[in-house]
Formats: sequence, structure tokens, C-alpha cells
Amino acid sequence: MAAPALDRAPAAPRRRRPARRLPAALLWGGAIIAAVVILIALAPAIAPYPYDEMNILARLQPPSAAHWFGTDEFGRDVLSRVLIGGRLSLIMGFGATALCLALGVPLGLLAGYRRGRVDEAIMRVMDVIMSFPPILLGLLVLAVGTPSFWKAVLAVGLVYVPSMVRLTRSVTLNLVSEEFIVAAHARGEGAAYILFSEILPNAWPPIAVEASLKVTFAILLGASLSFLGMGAQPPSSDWGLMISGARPLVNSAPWVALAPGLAMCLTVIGINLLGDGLREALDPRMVRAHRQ
Amino acid sequence: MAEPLLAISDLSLTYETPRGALQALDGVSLAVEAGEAVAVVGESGSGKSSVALAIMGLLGREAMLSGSIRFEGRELTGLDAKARRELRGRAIGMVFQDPFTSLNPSLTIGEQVAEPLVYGRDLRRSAALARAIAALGEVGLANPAALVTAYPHQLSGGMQQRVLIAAAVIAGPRLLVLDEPTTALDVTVEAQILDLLDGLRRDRRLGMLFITHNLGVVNRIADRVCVLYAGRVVELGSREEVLGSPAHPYTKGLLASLPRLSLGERGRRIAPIPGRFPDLTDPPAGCIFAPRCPFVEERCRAETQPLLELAGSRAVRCWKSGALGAWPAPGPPRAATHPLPAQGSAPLVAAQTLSKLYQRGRAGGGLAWSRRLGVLPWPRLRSEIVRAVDRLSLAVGRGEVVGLVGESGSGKSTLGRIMLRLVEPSSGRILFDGADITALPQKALAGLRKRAQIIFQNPDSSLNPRRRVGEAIGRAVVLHADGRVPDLRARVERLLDRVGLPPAYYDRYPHQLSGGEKQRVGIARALATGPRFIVCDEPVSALDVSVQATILNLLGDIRDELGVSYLFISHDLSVVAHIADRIAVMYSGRICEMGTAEAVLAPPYHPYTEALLSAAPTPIPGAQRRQRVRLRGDSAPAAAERAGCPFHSRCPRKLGAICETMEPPLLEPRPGHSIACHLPLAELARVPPVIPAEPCARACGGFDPS
Repeated sequence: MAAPALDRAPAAPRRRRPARRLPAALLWGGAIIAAVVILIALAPAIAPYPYDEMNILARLQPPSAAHWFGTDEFGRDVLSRVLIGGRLSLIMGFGATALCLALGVPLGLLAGYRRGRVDEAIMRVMDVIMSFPPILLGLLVLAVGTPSFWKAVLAVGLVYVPSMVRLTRSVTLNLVSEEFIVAAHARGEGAAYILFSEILPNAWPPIAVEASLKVTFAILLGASLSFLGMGAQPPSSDWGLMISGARPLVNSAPWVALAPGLAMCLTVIGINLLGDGLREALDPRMVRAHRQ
Repeated sequence: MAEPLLAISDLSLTYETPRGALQALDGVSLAVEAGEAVAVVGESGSGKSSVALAIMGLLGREAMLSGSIRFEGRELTGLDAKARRELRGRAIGMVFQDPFTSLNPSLTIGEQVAEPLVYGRDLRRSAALARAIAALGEVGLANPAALVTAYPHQLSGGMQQRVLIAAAVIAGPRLLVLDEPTTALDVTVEAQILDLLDGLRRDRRLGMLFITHNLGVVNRIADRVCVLYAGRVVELGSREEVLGSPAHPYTKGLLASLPRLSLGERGRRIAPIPGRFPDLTDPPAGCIFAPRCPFVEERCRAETQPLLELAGSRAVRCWKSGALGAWPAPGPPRAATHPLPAQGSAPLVAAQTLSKLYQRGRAGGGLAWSRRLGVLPWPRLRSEIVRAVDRLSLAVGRGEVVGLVGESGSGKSTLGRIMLRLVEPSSGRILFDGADITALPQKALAGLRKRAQIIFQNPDSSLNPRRRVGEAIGRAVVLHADGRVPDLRARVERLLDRVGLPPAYYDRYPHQLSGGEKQRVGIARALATGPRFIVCDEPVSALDVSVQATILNLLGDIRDELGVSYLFISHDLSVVAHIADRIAVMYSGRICEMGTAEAVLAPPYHPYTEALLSAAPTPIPGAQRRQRVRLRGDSAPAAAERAGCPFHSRCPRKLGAICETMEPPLLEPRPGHSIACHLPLAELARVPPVIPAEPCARACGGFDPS
């Protein structure tokens, strides 16, 4: 057997079982989001100025050593406002998305799995919700009682529930006819097990991508509500409100919009990378196939 | 000799993958003359479709192609996109495998058939449509003028395939490339399409490159055969030579691993090809087939095998092809160990006058207008009741294998799932072990779920891609155990061992397994609860021939050792004939013939059984069978045609009005064998046998079935 053994020798090192490496997108996305969250959590300590300290003499100053990102029309330090306002934006983005997932995914799974009357009932309610313009629906929720930031989170989350239900339902519809689901029925599994242990892990990739987009939309919609006086209450602010407030100044003092815009971009890119990376890391098919 | 119509020489195809270069084709050479049909045969992964796509220039940009493809003396490799388009459709036509996805659902048949003319010949639309009607008539479609305005969904699969063939030949190509054109069709329809292709070839002197995995189809259509394995031509020669006396071990193995449609078949072990398909990024040194070859010697592993020319136009890639014996016999038959269940004992599972009705087209079927009170037009949603299973009774005894044969849409899968209460019946009763389980709520079915299981057709969809193999099997063990299972891993590993998989597979994901291995996992999962009854829903239909043999052997062994009963559902009569004790033939929701395997495979036949048997392609060249029974049409009866015998709309022996109105009586030629037909038994018994009584011993290179 000497000859074949020699022939095979060079192939041996390649047969090493490849180590499972985390995807680069996950690492980058995680790093960006971690940095943003840490900065914003530490904002009260590291912000160079109080976020609401006005200085009429230093209105609309361009970036300088004293004010890295300049000052706004009331002379407030833009950097400080971005750091402090980021907390509301992030809570809005993640909170509303979490709510939307918590409501939308189970409803979508149920609608796609049970079909028939349950599906009709759920989807028609969702259609009704969807037929309202998002802002109007948000205002409607907020109009019950006094406006508060937490109600705004709730409103934004509810606005995005129907699209999450639709997505989850369509993915589920494709999965329920798969034979491994029939196999689960055949061994007597209950509905909850089938929904959450058999279907959900396979439905997760598109849901994760959708959710990472939703974070972005939620921050923007939250900003619109703030702009209408229904979300963050002045003088506190979030990124969206800062951007909309800076709109008239875009020609004369573009830096006022620049800092919150950059912060928003960075967060969105981080979330999308994180979503992509998570999807890749959770998919067993992404591990390179190895043979014995 | 003039240059052949198509000459492929030394064609190689490489893909760059993360794991290294993948050699999909390696030095493929073959030629097609005008008027000649050349079959390219191989299992999945052999590269047979790549040959077709390379000819058409449809390979992706990442494909690295070398070698030459000459069509009528003109080099095709490296041709620019415009010149390619000129050839496609006009000089070279192509027909794809799946008619259901090859036609655009939103264009009319006429537009799709005439398209090559309008684009290529700049014909006026009206003239092109007239030509399309002629072409549709030529491919044997009734009423082509009306078809021109129809849409694909209004046609049956066989009609759609005819439309595709019409579109492929309308512009008068000289070469037709067919990629598995009949694989998605039922056998009776497949036979019609093969007849059609054969006629076209003779009438138009078309050269045909026929790509298929089915050796029976090869035997029916091909003049010459080219056997591909792992991207290499392993054998080339005339049909009689290759199928009658195969020279390469792989061809021998392929032929030996086919279950045969013959009477002495039941219980015989089939000889599989051992091992698994080589990794084409890291092919074995020497002969590519050496790791799976039973005739392997030292020299095979050391030397790369060239394609050796034999006498005539024959070539084989094996240095010792002249000195090979028959493919090794697979061990003693099993049948002796397994007595038939005694007549009259209580069956394990019984379906009694089961029906399953579906309503089709409620909202999607469009509106029908009727009149209310004589004048008011009143819209009604058009709908149709489909009887998937129609007052059907069937019993499966203890330790018995009942084969259920029928075409797609005959309701056989639905019946299997109703018997497991996975689909709710509309009426009728299901008895399991003597107890009526028809109306039990799902929660009370734990006993049934433990003792009755199912094995699926599609290995890719039957396992959850996010579950490790061990988890998938272990879950079934845990679910039906009382409390925790301390030795779960050991038990799952024993199950894996039972189905012939190494214990290390416990930690694998389904995508790391081959099709046959996934199917074994599916079987292990079904066995995990210790069932008495397993519905095998086309368990080998999606597998390659050589793998199919191992799975059939495994299912047979499990039945013998554990005494499990199977309801074995298949569209393939030869597979059913191999494993089943009794066979039930199903057509459009009804059973038209039922009896022991020997009784069903020999006359008297139900006319439908006779047609099925005579349409089944066999790979034995020269096994002259009598004239094939031709069925009218190719689709199951519509709801309106179901009165009387459901088969009357296609039956070649239809008597007359009685078949359309009266339900056929059950004839009993002998106890336990029943035929539902109006024809007198004496006339049915006069039919000569379709399959020869003696299995052909000279098939598969001297393989001896005894």
C-alpha cells in the first residue's frame, strides 16, 4: 500500500476540520454598535457641555476646538446634544423594534401555520392598521392621554407590526408544507413546539434582516413624532428632531445637521452589519462542509 | 466521413470554489450525427446537464471551459453572445426537464411557441402564429388553433412538454438538446412523449442529444449511449453494446442496481454500488471509480485511466474491461425468511370507504354567472369538488408490505397521510390495531403517533436544515419516552448504526450529508419510536439509481428484522414489484386493481395496470415486448367525467356508455385479487402477459438473478 499512501499524503493537511470563524460582518457590526452604546451610556459624564445650556453669543458657530461639531441656533453644543439625545433615539429604535418583533412574529407564525379563519382574522386586522398613514396612526395612539416618550415608543412599535406579521406569515406559509413539519406532526408534536422550535429557526434570517431595517425606520419615525411635539419634549432632543430642526439652516450652518446625521448613519450601518453577521453565524449551512 | 453534426472533443469544465478547483467535466468527447439520438447517462453530479448547457452556451460566467464543441464544422466555444443567439432555437433547440416551470405562466401558448420565429426570422406575427399552429399539430396536440390563445396553467404536464417541444422545433433546428425531458412526467405520458420525439427525429432527421438518468428511457430512444461518471466519459458505444454487455464496472453496477419489473423479483436483494460519489475538488488518484469498484486492483489506484477504443465505435475507461466478470451478487434473497400474513387475520391498519374531498378554485376560479328568479344575473364563485380519495378501502396486515402504485395526482400520498391522521378524511373510517381512530382528537393520538410513522420522498425537505442529525432523531425518542432518557446519545447512535450510518453523524447538519444519507436519517427518525406501521411515501423516487438500491435493501431488511408493516407508495411499478407483498393500483382516487404482487403483475389485468406495465421502460435491449398499450389523453378525469369508472375517459378498452354511467363491479379472478372493471373476466384473462415470465438473464453483463 506504499504507493497510494504516498499519493494521498499531500491531501492530508487540507482535511483538517475547519474552525468555525465568526463572520467579519458580525465583528464589525458588533464593534460599531458597542462603541455607540457605550458612548451614549457615558454621555452625561463625557459630554463637554450641558445639552440645554444656551449661549446666545455663540450661535451657529462652525466646528472649532471648543465646539467640535459647532453650535446650533441657540448656541448649544451640537456634540453634547448628539451624545445626550442619542439615548432617546436608541431606546426608540431598539424598543419599538423589540415590541414589533414580540407582537408581529408570533402573530405571523400563527397566521401562516393555522391558515383558514385564524389567518383571515389576523390579517384583516393588520390590513386595517396598515391602511392608516404611519404618522397618523402614531398620533392616534399618542392622543390617548398625555403624550410621553414611552407612548411614542409604543406607537412606533405598533405601526410596524403589520409588516412584520406579513413577512413572518409568508415565510411560515412556505415552511409549513415542508416534509420535516409533517414529520413533526407525525410524531405528535404540539403546535407551540412546531412553531417555535421547527419553523421559527428557519424563518429567522429574513426576520432578522427586516428587524435591522426596522430599527432605522423607528428612529426616523420617532423623530417625526418628536418634531410634531409628540415624542421627545424640548429641550431634550433626539437625533431625528435635531436633523429636522437643522433643516432651515442646511445652507448657512450645515454642521448642525452633520453630527446627528453621522451618528444615525453609523448606528444604521452597525445594525445592518450586525444583522447580516448574525444571520450568517446562526446558519449551519455557512460552516464549510467537511467530510470524515 | 464528413464531419458529424455535433462534435465535442476534450471538453473540460472547471469551477473555482472556496475549497479548490472543481472539475465538473474532464475531457469529454462525443459526436452526434444527423438523425441520430445519443443518450448521455449519469447520476446527479455526473456533469450531464453541464454538457447540455455548454453546447447551448448557457453556462455561467464563472465556468471555465476548455476543449472544443463543433456544430456543423463551426466552433461554438468562444462564440460571442450575438452569434450564440443566432444559433439557439434556429439551429439548436433545447427542451428542459420541468415543463411546469419552463413555460412563462403569463404568456399565451401561441406567443411562446412562435417566439423563435418572430425574434429570429422577423416573421410577421400572424404568419408566425400560423406556423405555431402547424407545429402544435405536429407534436400531437388536439385542436391546436384553440390552444394558441390558452395559458400554460390550463394544460396538463404532458401537453406542456409537447408545447415546449413544439417551441424547440418550430424554427427547424438540426440538433435538439433534451435535458431529462420526461423525468417530471408519469410513465404513460412519458411513453407518449418518447414516441413523439422518436417520430420527430425520423421525420426531420434531427440529431438528438438526450440527457437522462433513466436507463429504461435510454433503451427506448437512443442509438448510442455515453455513460458519464464524475465528469468523465466512462463508456461509449451503441445501445445494444452498452446496455446488453456493459464493459465498464460503473455501467455494470448501474444496471445491476436497478430493480427489475419481473415476477421473480420480490425479496431479491439488489446489488448496490458501494461508497459515495467522489469529491470533485479532491478526486481520488488513478481511476475515478476505483474507491467504489468491486474489481479494483493496485494498478487502478495508481494510474489515471485513459478512454480505450474497443472494436467498432466503442470506448471504455477501464484497462481491464475485457477480463471483468459479472457485478458481484448481493447475497441471498430475503423472501424465504418472510411468510405472507395469513389470510383472514385482523389487519394492522384498515381504511374503510375513505373519502377526501377538496374544494378547488373558490376565490381563484373566477366568477360564474347564473340567473336568479329567471332574470337577475347573479355572480357565483366558480368551484370544483376534487375527490382526491374516493370511497376507498385498503387494509395492511401485520408485517405486510402493501405497494400503492399510481400516477401523480392519483391521491396516493393523500391516502397515506389520511391513514396516519395527518390529513383529516371527509368520510369513512380508519382502524388501527382494531381501534377506530377516525374521530379521535389529535391529543388522544399519542399511541398512533408512536406506532405509526412516515418516511418522505424528498431528502432535502424531510430534515430540518437547522437541526443536527442526532437532535432530529433524539427528539422522537424523547417525545415518546416516559421521563428523561439517560442514554439518549447511545440510543440514537444505535439507530444510526441500524440504518448504516457511522455514529459520528450524530453531530452533523443535513447539508453535510448526501441524498441517500439524508434518507437514511429520515428512516432512523421514523424508527426511533419503535413503530409497527410506516407509510413510505415515494422513499426512493428522488434518489440516484445506485443509492435507491441501498435504500430499498435497507427498507427490506428492516421489515424482515422488526416485522414492520409498510404502505409503500410509489409511481414506479418496478420498485413496488421489488418490495411489496400485495400491490394496489390507484387511479384518480380509486383502487382499480389489488392483489398479491404475482397476481397483479400477470394477467388478467385491469386495463390501467396493463397500460402502466407496458409503459414502464426497461433497460434490457432486445427484450421484445408486445405493442405498447396507448392511452387516450394524458390527464386525470375532470369532476364531470367521474361518473361510472373514473378511467373511462382514457381507457383503450372502453365498452361504451356503461363505463360512463355504471360503477364497475369487482371481479375476483382468485381470492384476494380484485379488479374493478366492466369487461368480463374471460376477456381480461385473454390478454397476453406484458412482462416476460422469465427474467432476462443476459441483462446487466451476465448478472444472474437466481
